[in-house]
Amino acid sequence: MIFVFPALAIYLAVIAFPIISSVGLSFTDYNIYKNLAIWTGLANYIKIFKDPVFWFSMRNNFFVIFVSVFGQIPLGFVLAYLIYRRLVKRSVFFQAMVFLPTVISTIIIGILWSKMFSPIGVVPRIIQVITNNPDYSMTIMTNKNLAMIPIGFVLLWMYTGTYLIIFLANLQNIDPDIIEAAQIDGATDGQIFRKIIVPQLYGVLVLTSILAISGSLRSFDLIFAMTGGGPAYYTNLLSIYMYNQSFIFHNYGVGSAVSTVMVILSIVLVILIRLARRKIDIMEA
Amino acid sequence: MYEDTLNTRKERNIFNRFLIYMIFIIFAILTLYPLIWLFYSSFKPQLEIIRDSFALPQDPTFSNYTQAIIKGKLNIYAINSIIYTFVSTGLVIIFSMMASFAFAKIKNRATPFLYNSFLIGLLITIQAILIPLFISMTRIGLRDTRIGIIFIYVAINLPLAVYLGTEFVKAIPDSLIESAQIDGASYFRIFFKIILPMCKPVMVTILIFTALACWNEFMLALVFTSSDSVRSLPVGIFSFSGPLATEYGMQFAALVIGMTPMILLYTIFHRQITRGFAAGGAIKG
Repeated sequence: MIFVFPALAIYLAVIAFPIISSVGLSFTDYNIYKNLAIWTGLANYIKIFKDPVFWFSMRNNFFVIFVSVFGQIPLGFVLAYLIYRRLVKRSVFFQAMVFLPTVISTIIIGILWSKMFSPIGVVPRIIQVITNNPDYSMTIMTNKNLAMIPIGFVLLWMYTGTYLIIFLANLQNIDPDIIEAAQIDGATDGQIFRKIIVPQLYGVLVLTSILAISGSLRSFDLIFAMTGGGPAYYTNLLSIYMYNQSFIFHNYGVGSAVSTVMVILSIVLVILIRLARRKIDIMEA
Repeated sequence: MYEDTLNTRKERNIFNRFLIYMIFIIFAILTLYPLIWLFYSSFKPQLEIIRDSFALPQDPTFSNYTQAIIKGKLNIYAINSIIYTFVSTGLVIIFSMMASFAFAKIKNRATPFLYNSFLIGLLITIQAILIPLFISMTRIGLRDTRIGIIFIYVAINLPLAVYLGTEFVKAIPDSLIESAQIDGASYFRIFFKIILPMCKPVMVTILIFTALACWNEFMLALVFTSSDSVRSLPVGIFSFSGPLATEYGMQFAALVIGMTPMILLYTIFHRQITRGFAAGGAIKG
């Protein structure tokens, strides 16, 4: 018991206890200066569901989830497969290049890329040179409909490497005898990929999707640093919305309601993936 | 006829190879170019940055760096970040190894429940604990203090560390511990003399994850610090690099200072970091 105590005490104080009290706070209009909470029932939830900014944030969160699940994971998988099959030389170098952004602070990446896309950055300059139009000026970051596109690009840029590493490690765990046996039986590369590689990595694919979803729901740093949620609130995320409500406007009850919605959403999505997996398992059996 | 198909197949193969290399080379350029651009731009005076974002510095200067340190107080932020990273990482390693030993080898009835409650921490949305934690930290006076930040960093990094540690200690054969017990060794002696020396690989993994997480963490440091003397590097850099800030050279210098330690760490320990991410990255997401 002595061995567990330090870890457990800190864990309970910082993680377990606050989760419960957060749900409680979401039904109140807590005021930090008076340290007073009055029960307001569902008022906070009604307030956020009526707020268009909340729905914009939700939409953007789903965009981030979409980029992770259908962008980062497949791209990471394909790159890992190419390295695994030894289709490139110098794979250690290329692997490092894809992975390097992962170790850099997200805040720094966000600021760096917002500068790259800004008028003092190189992206507009490259477009000027390509289109041969020296007057071209980049407005994508301030366009309310398009500002999510550069963000999606940076999301791919910085997280694909993590998935590459995870998939590569799991590919290298596949027994090479299975593949050799299939080759002797005359299986083509495509058949091996579809019938052996993908089924073997099935569990990892499901696991990474779950993690991508819960990671995307809580992501904050990158967009906060790149756009601050702007222009206006068109690139807001639920986490930024929650941050603004709590720590800028000091509506702690509303902020707690948003975070409760985020937790419920992540639980629902994870359950959906689990169900989808079971359905595919049954279909294959 | 046969020759023909063989030839086209060969051509297709060469073309595929070319395509694969192109993909990896594009990735490498996309990773390296922004970093190189940032590096040489950090030596350019303000006017040169505005005039031509492409060009190499005509008149390289260190003043951006001295400005970032004097005006931006980057030295204070850097020292804080170093303190947070070292102390938190050290405590996480000690506490998590102690807990791992107990969870894996000193079992009692509460073990499964306590261990599972740690595992839930892996999937937690940090926003769900933010507000209650903010309120309680404010009330006990730990907000905006170094101890408060370290306390939180230790807590949020413990679940992954405990998980990795426990799985590792489980693999150490029981017979080693039993024979030490027969020789009359106490649990403390067993822990320090047998378990810890054998756990070096997993301790390195925990060290890498925790150090990266603490050095790069942004949101919690943003919420829980308000005075310059306790701010960490990411928050400090963000505070003068917001979307509206115009002292570009100083910002570039700050970004370079913020990311150099992690890039160096990666070049030195890339093998361990890759292995760590393969093992723990699947959980971290």
